[in-house]
Formats: sequence, structure tokens, C-alpha cells
Amino acid sequence: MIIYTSIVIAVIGGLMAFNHYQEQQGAIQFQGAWFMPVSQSSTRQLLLFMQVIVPILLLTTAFYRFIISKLNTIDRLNDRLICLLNDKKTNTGVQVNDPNTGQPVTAMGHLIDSLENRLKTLESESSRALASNHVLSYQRRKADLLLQAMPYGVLVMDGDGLVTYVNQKIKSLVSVEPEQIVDHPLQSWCKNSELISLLSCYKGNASPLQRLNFVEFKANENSNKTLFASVHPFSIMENIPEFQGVLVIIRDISEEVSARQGRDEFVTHVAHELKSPLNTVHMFVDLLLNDSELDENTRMDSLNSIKDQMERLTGLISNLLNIAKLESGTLSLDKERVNLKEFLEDTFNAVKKSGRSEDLSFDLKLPSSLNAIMIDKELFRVALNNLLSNAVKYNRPGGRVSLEAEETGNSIIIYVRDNGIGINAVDQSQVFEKFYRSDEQEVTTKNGQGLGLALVKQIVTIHYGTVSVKSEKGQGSEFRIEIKKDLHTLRQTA
Amino acid sequence: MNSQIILLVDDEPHILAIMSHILKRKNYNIETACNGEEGLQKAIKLRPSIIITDVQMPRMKGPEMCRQLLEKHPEFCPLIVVASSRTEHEIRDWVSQHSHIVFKEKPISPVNLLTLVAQHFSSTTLVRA
Repeated sequence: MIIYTSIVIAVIGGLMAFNHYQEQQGAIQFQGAWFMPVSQSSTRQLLLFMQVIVPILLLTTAFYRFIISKLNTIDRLNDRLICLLNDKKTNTGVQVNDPNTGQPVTAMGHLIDSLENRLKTLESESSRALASNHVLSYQRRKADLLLQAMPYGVLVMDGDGLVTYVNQKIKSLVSVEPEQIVDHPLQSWCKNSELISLLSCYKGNASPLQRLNFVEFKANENSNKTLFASVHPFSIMENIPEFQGVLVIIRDISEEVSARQGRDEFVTHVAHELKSPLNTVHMFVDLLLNDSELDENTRMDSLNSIKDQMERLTGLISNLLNIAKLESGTLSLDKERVNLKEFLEDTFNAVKKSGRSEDLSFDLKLPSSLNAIMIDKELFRVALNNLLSNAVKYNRPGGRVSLEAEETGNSIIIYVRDNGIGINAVDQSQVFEKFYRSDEQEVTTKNGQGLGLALVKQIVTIHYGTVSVKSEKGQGSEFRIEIKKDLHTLRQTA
Repeated sequence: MNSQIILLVDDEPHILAIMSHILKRKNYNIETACNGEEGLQKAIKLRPSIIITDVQMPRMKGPEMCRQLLEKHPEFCPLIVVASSRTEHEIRDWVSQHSHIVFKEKPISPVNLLTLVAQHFSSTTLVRA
């Protein structure tokens, strides 16, 4: 408004000055007369001066205000830019589309608004990206820790046969530092030909038809450690049938191999033990069938031999079944409260009257009373019978077999003693192992499978007891069973 | 009585008893041993014409007894019958490498046993004649 008023006054002043010029009949004379000290014309000249100067001043003021108003808007825009640059919150309430500021400033204001919005978007995206990055880092770390914590060696190989990741477990398995494996050619770190063959199958140009899935190999030539490596191809990109890398799992299977060998040996041993008496029976039956001239004594000997072998087979199968049940945990104990004194007397007398011990003396020493204990009566009878039968079997003519029991404050102890052939020191440490039999001729000439004492140990163990042996070669043996008097053996329920 | 000796080596007393019985009835001269160690000693000492041995025995196994016998006395060349219910390939392979060692799966019937022994003695008699 001021600007318009100034322009109007300036225009009026200009018109007045022009009229006065016309009245003076010549601008040159008029100009020359300005500085003339003529009193009559000073009032008119002053008026003329005012008519010229005032509009100029007014115009200048208006122009100045116009410029300032523009500069103020630019200053505000500048302030916002500085704030943006300094990453401070801008005053978004500033009006940038002031009609007085003109189109360029308005456009610049819009540009800054746009920049500001873009900056906010970028900041928001940056924050999200940062958060995602943290999450990814955490997940990567977590995945790495999981792979490191795995009990197996883990190795990731790309399609070119270069290893891109290994966990620390690999070091203890293949005895190579992870740093020597990652990004190094297969041949430079792997010394095992079986593993090289397995991994080479998964290099880019190897034929898929020749690919192996797993390999079992020795850790090194002088090691008993057996390793198992399996390969699992993976594809990162979908819709591509070919894999981009393989995950290799290497684990120590030494214990499994050992167990497998043990199982195979067990099966072989059992088969042999079953076949031997059958072979003997077969031969005697053949003899009886095909030889009509056999005398009565030979026939009876043959039949007795067959009977012995049948008993041997029955005992073997019974022991095997009991051991299998005990080892697999499928045997459910049928515990009951047993009068131990009566139980020991019964078992002892049964062995005494078995008919194989006519020339032996038997001695039973039991205290006047024994605490009743919770046992599986039939199973415990098998254990005690095995000990007493061994005392009879590995005895000498005129020898002695004794069963003794005692009760202390904490336990009940049962002794089975004999003064037979005895057990040498080497055999004593192994007599409770399955299928272990002494090489002593006095032992090998008698029937047996090496299962009786193994079964005794298992039966005593599941009754929370211990069994041990003391023996001297040629002097006899003492087997000692100790059952602790505790909740397991004294309470009513199993 | 046939003067040529047949040595039976087995840790099963019943097997030794029945084979001895079968062969003695045909007047063969029988010696027995209950493990490879005893079998080796008797083989060196008695120089039997035929050795019939089990495989799985305490102290010394049948094949080991044969190896030591062949190694220590290469000039001594009896017929060796390795009898076992086991059928490991190593034993069969090892047996196949020796012309005078044969493998027989247990149980050996009395008829087969007598035939085997009789064939050996008749062939050696023919060679000598």
C-alpha cells in the first residue's frame, strides 16, 4: 500500500514539476537559475525542489521496503536451509508463498519443502535400514554362534570348490586351521583322498552322475578316529535348478564304528556259540542214525552228549535273552519282599542236588536272621545260581563250595566261595565281560559261553548292588555281592 | 591198526570225542589237542598224515597253527582239513592258496569224514606204489 501511495505521489510531483517547467519556458534557463541568489524566485524554486525530491525519496523508500520484504523471505528460506544443513528442526510454519515475494521465491520455498520432506523420508529409511542392519548383524552372529556350537564340523563350499565358511570344530576333526581352509583351494588344505574325492564331485564342472553323498574315512593314517562327511547342496536363488554351493557336515563316528564292530562281533560270537552245540548234536545224531553196530555204551554216551548240548543251548539262549532284555532296558523288574535267608537256602540246595556235584562238599553259613529285601526273586536266583554253578564247574574232585551271608548296618553281603582251579590275575579283570573266557585249558575244556558272570553283574547292578571277585590261581575263588540297605532294597514298592 | 596218525584239534570235547570214536572204529590212529598251541606241538612231534582242526580256539586259532607249522617245517606237508561253522572269506581265501589244505563246513558228517580220510590215504598209497 505504501509502495502504491509513494508511486502515486511521485507521479503527481512529476506532473507538477512538468507544468512548472512549461511555465518557465526552457529547462536550461531554469536549471541555470537554481544557484542564482535571486530572492524573488527562491520560494518557487524550493517548491520545485520539493516537487522533485519528495517523489524521489518516496520512490527510494518504497523500493527499499520492496527489496527488504523480498530479502526477508529469502532470509527465512536461508534460515530453513541452514537448519536443514545443521540437521535442526525447521520452522515449517513460515509462509513461503507470500504474494509479495514473487514466483521464484515461492518456487524455492516449494523446493525446500520438497527437499525437507525427502530428507525426512531418507532419515526414516536410514533409520529403518540401520535397524535392519542391526537385526541382520544379530541374526548373522546368532547363526554363526549356532554353527560354532554344533558338535559337528561345518564347512560351506561354493560352486568353484572354494570354502567360504568353516566352524572351529573342523580344526579338531581334520587338524587344519580354519584360516588355512577358507578361500584356499581344496588340494592345499585337504590331505585325505576320500574327502577330496567327495568334495571334488561338487565343483562346477564335475559330472552330477559321479557325485557321492557321503564318505567314511580315517582322520589320518595313524589315527583310530573315523570321520563321516556328508554333502548337502543348496540353492540361494529360486527357479535355478543348479545348486550354488554345498554344506558339508563332518562328524566323528569313532564310537559308532566301535559300537558297530562290537555288535558285529557279538552277533558272530553268538552265532558261533549257537552253532557249536548244534554241530555236535548233528554229528551224534548222524552217528546214531547211520551206525547200526554201535554198542550200548556208545549209544548212551552219544545220547548224553546230545542232552548236554541241549542244556548248553538252553542255558545260552536263556542268558542271551536275559542280557538282551537287561541291556535294552525292556526287562521290567518284578520286585517283591523276599525272605533272604530262605531264598539263599533254596537256591543253594537246588545247586547241591543238581547231580553234577557228587564228589564236592557244600557248606552254607547264614546268620540266624537276615533282613528281607526287595528283589526280583527269579532274576536274582539266576545270578546266584550262575555263581554257585561256576563254583561247582570250575572245582576239583573233593573240592568245596560254600555260600555265606552277613548283614551289617548298611548292607547285606553274600559270598560264594570255592577251592577250585581259581582265576589268574589277567582273567580276573575281565571275567565280567560278555563272552570272555579264560584261555586256561581247565576252563576251555568245560562248556561255557562267557555269559554267566556278565549276567550276574548286570542283575546285581540293577538291584543297586556290586559284585567283585578275589581269586588265586590253583587256590580257588571268592565272589562277593553287596546289596546296600536303602530305600531301593528295603521299601515295599520298587 | 593204521600206523598213520590223524591229529584232531578242537576246543569242543564232544567234537573230539565223536570224531575220535568214528575214526577209531575204522582203526585209524588218533591223537587229539584242545587248542592250536597244543595242536602245533603235537603236529611237530608226531608228524600226523592228516590234521583236522577247528578255526576258533583259545590260545591259538587253527589258521595260525597251520601258518606256524608251514613256516617252521615247510618240508612237512600233511593234509590239513580246516573245519568251521564260520564262513569268513579270509579263511576260505587263505585255504584256496594252499593245495594241501581244504576247508570243510561244520558239521562234518561221519560218512564225509571217513570218505575224506580214506581218499587221502588211498591217494598217498597210490603215489608211494
